[in-house]
Amino acid sequence: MRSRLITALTISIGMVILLVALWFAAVQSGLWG
Amino acid sequence: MINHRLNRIFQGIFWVLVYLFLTLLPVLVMFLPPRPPGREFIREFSVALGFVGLAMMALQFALTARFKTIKAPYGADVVYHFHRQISILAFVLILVHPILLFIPQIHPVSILNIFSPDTPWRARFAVTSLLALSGLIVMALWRKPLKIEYTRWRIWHGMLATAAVAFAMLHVLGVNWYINEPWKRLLWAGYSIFFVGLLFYTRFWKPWQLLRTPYRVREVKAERGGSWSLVLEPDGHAGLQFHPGQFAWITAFNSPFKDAEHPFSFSSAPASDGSVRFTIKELGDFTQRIKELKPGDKVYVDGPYGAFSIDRHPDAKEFVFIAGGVGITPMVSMLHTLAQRNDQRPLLLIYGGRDLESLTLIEEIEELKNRLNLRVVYVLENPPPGWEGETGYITRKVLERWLPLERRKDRIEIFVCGPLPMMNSVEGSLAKMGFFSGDVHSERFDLV
Repeated sequence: MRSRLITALTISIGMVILLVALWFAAVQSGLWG
Repeated sequence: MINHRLNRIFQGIFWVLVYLFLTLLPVLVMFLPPRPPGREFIREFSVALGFVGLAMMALQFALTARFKTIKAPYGADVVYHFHRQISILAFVLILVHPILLFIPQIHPVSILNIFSPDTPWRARFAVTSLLALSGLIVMALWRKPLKIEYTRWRIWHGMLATAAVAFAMLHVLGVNWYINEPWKRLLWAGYSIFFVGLLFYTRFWKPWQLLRTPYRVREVKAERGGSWSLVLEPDGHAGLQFHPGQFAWITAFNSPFKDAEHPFSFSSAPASDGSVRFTIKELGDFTQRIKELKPGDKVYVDGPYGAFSIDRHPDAKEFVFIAGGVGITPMVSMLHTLAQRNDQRPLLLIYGGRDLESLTLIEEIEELKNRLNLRVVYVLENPPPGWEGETGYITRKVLERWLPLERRKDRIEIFVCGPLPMMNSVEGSLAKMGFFSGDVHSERFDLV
């Protein structure tokens, strides 16, 4: 149960990181904004 | 009770948000003006992943530095489990960082050859960091199949982790793109100081503190089930205050600077003279040597740690302890403490083992039955002739026969400790039986 929660937390953190990195790259490269 | 639990949940969420903020901080700072000119999307994406990966690697040192405040809301095993999983995520991000640069041929693959005179130093640092990180991950995931002894593994783990972060920092300095402003350089200087500070804290400050507060062996006693009880008394200090069920890291035969420590649960109740007892089963190189300790020998104890304790649930109406093998030790610590406090709440202990001879500390448990409102159920794989108790493993059927019918939240607190397959199976059964996961407590040490 707890290990599944930790996995879910890790995946969520990974998703947030991915979104922030994509946002950064899009803005910095001039693709967006 | 609800306040305790809510408080822990808020603390838990707070530390996750702090972690996320520190992980993303380099990208957020990179984004603040003045920014260097923009480049291709794929290159910027790759750089962002690299920076986040590096911040995550540096933060790993904080996760494993044994700060009691960070671990308090979760328990040590949860933090280590998270450390393990998040390491894999960091490794993936760091691995993707160069791959993304090779796909559109921003850099040629030949840059990976650190021996080529054409390879710049910044690339050599990056490749060395990646190699150290790869070694680290392989050794952590497959320590047992690779037959690497635990103490040796710990030393390698520390060295490779330090090398991975240090070389990655040098790589960032060498590339010198997003640290063009003095205050941005300050951020990275801050991360470096934080990282070096953590290394200093774990490798020098803590061992030095331990060296100043040694323990002496009072007694080494053989127990059933190939275990040894090690009784220690503080030497020239008051000793540590622990809650029953917690554990500590022990260093014996070595200086605390040698990083040769092992985690064990206390098996005694907190004592007024500061003495502590650990009951240790002979399982590996270190545990097989416990019997060689003599009265008067110096041992170092770093603790207490862990959230596995009845003291975190003062309002429980009933406690259930489910133990397998040497997993009985924290339970015995909790039972002794309850007896010391003359606590008469209903208690149930389900204790599984191979046979009667392997049930460590059974004599103490039998004696505790006279002082506590305690029912004990032994579950034997190989019962003696004429045995009328439970046999086999601690299955759902066994649990259903003995556990209270009450399933109301926060009423019964259940503690589970033993071999991993047993803990997984018992936790699964308890969930199916309708017990709330927040009321089921366990700690797993067998992570590497």
